[in-house]
Amino acid sequence: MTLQIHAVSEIDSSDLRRLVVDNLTALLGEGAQLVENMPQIDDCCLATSDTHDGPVLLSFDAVDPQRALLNGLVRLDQLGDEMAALFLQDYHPPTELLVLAPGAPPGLTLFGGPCPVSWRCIQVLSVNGEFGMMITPVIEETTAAGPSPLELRPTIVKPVLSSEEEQHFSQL
Amino acid sequence: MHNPAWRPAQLHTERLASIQHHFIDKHPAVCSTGKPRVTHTIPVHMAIAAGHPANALQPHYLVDALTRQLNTQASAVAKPPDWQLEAMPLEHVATNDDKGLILVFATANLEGVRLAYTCIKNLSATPSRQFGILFSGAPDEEIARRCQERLASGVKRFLGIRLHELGHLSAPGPDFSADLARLAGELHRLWETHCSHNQLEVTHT
Repeated sequence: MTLQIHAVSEIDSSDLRRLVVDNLTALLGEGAQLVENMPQIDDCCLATSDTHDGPVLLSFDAVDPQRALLNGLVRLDQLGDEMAALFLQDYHPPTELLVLAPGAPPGLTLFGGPCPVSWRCIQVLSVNGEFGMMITPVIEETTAAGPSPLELRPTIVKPVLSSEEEQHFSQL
Repeated sequence: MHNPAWRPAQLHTERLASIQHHFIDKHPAVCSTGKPRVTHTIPVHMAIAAGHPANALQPHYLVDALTRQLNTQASAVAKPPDWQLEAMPLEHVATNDDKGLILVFATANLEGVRLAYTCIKNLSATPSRQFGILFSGAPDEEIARRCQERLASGVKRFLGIRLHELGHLSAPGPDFSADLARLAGELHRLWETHCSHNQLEVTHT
């Protein structure tokens, strides 16, 4: 039996949502799961917790990276709203946004402050008539075009410490 | 006893108060009193380790939130000064003009402590400088305490400088407003103490 595989540009939002849910572990690591009791926020957004129980908002679009980014930012803003805190006990609004799209969203490199935004490349495929999702690892160069924000830039330590200082600061 | 019908409004007000630090004016409104206002500028040197946790307080957020908090608290006095915080990368070489209070913001881990020490060592050539150190990103209070003690003891031992320990500030959360107000208050007191001992140059706008 041969596999008939081709890229899909049109997919129903509910199908894409199901694909993302099926691939949560691949996207966010072992133990990643949907946040329970969260009100339905959008067809193309999911509130999740990653492998470290960190709240992450997923925003996805099979075609348009910019739409996925902007939609995710709007929903992230809404989830930080005080109303959600009133309705949900032990509520922690997502502090991270992960954009799932076939290309890097324009303007992504501007982020990096209190609300980290990242991107994973996804491609929806049709495999013998069934939908599948290919998750491509992000190559560093594609997301780091231009100067890095100050807080994300690794700092170079000049070897200016004496041996006594080195000894003192070798442990906490 | 409060009318239960008021409870939602009360919750709403409390919630707004707790998140007020999110509403940061990029360009604070200028007070049009007609008189020139004094500007206090505090450089904030960033000793941010490469592994600074994403869920910790981030440098630019700190600068924006603390600037707003300082100016908010200052507005209660008769002639409020303008407070400005200036984020400095670690590589920044200070000039002799920077004789005032310097804030160092560091990641609460060993690398952050070492970066902070290197920064303070480089800046300590001018004797009149005073340093406030603020940490963020510690997984628990014990690590935060050890970072502060390790840095303070090293700076005292090798540089002969007594650090002003400003504690540890977590990422924005329920207690962030109170922590930020406390930090702004301590900075304000440090500034006044420093001014009483030194003739500081101020900028008139």
